[in-house]
Amino acid sequence: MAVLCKNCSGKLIFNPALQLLECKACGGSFRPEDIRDINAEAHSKYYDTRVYVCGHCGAEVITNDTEASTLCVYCGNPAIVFSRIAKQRRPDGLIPFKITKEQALDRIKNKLFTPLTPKEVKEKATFSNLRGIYVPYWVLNADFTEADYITGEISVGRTTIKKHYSRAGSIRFNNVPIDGSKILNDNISMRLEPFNLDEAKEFDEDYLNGFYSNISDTSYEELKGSAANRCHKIYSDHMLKSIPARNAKIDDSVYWIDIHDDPVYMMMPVWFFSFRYQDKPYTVLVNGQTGEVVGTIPWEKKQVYKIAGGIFAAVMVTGLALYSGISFSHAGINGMLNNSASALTIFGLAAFPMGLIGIQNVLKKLSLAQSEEMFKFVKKRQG
Amino acid sequence: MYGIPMPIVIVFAIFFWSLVSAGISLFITSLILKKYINAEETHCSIYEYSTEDINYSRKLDQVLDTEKQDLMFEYGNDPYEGKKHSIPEQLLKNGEEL
Ligand SMILES: [Zn+2]
Ligand SMILES: [Zn+2]
Repeated sequence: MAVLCKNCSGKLIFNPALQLLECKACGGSFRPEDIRDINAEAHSKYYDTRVYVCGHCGAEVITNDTEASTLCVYCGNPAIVFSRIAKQRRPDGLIPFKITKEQALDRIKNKLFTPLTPKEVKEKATFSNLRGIYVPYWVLNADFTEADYITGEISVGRTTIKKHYSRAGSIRFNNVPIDGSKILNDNISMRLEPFNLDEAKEFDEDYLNGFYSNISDTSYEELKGSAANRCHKIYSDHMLKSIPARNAKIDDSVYWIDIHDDPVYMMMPVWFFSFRYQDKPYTVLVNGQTGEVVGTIPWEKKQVYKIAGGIFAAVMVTGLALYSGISFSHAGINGMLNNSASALTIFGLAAFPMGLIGIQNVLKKLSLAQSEEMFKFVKKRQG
Repeated sequence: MYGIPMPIVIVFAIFFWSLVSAGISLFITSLILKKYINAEETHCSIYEYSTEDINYSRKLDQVLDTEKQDLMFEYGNDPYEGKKHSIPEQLLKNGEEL
C-alpha cells in the first residue's frame, strides 16, 4: 500500500529525475531502499494492490493513488472505477522511470508533431493525458532453432531470375524481454526495446508511487508463443542478411524455442499518451528508460487534401499550358515543349502506382497509433 | 487533326492530363506524408540478445524446389521436446485461470 512520509505522513511520489521518493507536502525526499524498513510486507512473496477496472473496455490497471485518474489509459473513456484490493505476486525486479513526464511530452512533440498534426491533438498534449505505467515483462534466456526456405532475385545479364536458398541454424538468446500482459500487442511492445537491464533494481513497490502498473496475465504457453515469435523476428532479420540476393523473403519457415529455467518477472517503465480524435482512441508510447517513442499521430485530413489538391492543380495547369503550347506555337519551340510534355506524362503515369503504394504504406503505419491496433481489448467496444 | 474532331481531342487531352496530374500529386503527397510519419522502427539487432552469431547447420545457395520438403522434414520436429523446466508460479497460476 501507499507509503507515507516519515516526517509528515504526506503522500510520497517517485521522482524519475532525482530517482528519489518525494513528499509533496513537506518537500522531504527518500531513497526507495531506505523506506523499505517501514513497509511491513517488503520481503513477503506478495504485495497488496488496488485494482481499478474500466467499465468500457474491461482493462485493469493498478495504482496506489487513491485519486486515480478518471480516464482509461487504454480506451480514453471516463469509466474507471475501483474494483478490489488484490494480493499480487511480487515481481523479481524493476527498471525505475528515468524519463520524466516533461521529457516524455517533449519527446512526443519533437518526434511526432508536424504541420499536419491537428490542433485538437496538439491541445491534448498535456500532463494530464500522459500517464506512467509499469508494464510487466518476462526476461528470459532461450535456445532457439530455425529452418527457412527463402526466395530471392538475382540478375543474369539483364534479366532477373528467382532463386531459392535454404538456411537452418540455432542460437542462444540472453535477456530477451517479452511483454507479459495480454492487453499490449506484442508487435507494439517489441518496438519499445531495447531496455537496459544494467539499471534494473530489485523490486520495491515504493517505486510504483505516482505510477500505474499492470500484472502479468499470460500463461506459460502464451509466453512461449510470444517468445518464439520475438526470437524468430530477431533471428530472421539477421539471417536474411546472409542471402546473396535482392528482395530476399522467407517462403516457409519452422522454428522451435526452449526457454531456460525461471524467466525473470520485471516491471518496465512506459509513458502512455492517450487521447481521442474524431471519436477514435489513439495512444503513443514512450519508453520510460530510454525515451524511445512508439506510435504515430493522425493528420489533419483537410491539410493533406489541400497539399494534394495544390500539387494536382499546379501540374494540371502546367500540362494544359504545355499542350496548348504544342498546338499553337511555331515549329521551333514545338520540339522542346513536346519533350517536356512527354517527360511529364511518363513521370505522371509511372508516379500513379508508386503514389498509391506510398499512400498505402503510410496509412498502414498510421494505423499503428490507433488504440485498436495497440491493445487487445477484453470487452468489445460498443459504438 | 488527323480527322478526329477538335473538341474530342481537347476533352481527351484534359482527361488524360488530369490522370497524369493525379499520379504526380499522389506521388509527391505520399513523399510528404512519409516524411511526416516518423514511425520509429525497432533498432534491436541480434547482438542485443546474443553474444554469438547464428550457428548454421545448413547454408545452401540456389537450391532446387525439392529442398523445401527436405528442409521441413529434417527440422519439422521440436529438437527440445521433453525438456523439463522450472516455471515461475505466476505463469502457472495464469494458465490455470484460463
Ligand atoms: Zn512529508
Ligand atoms: Zn478503457
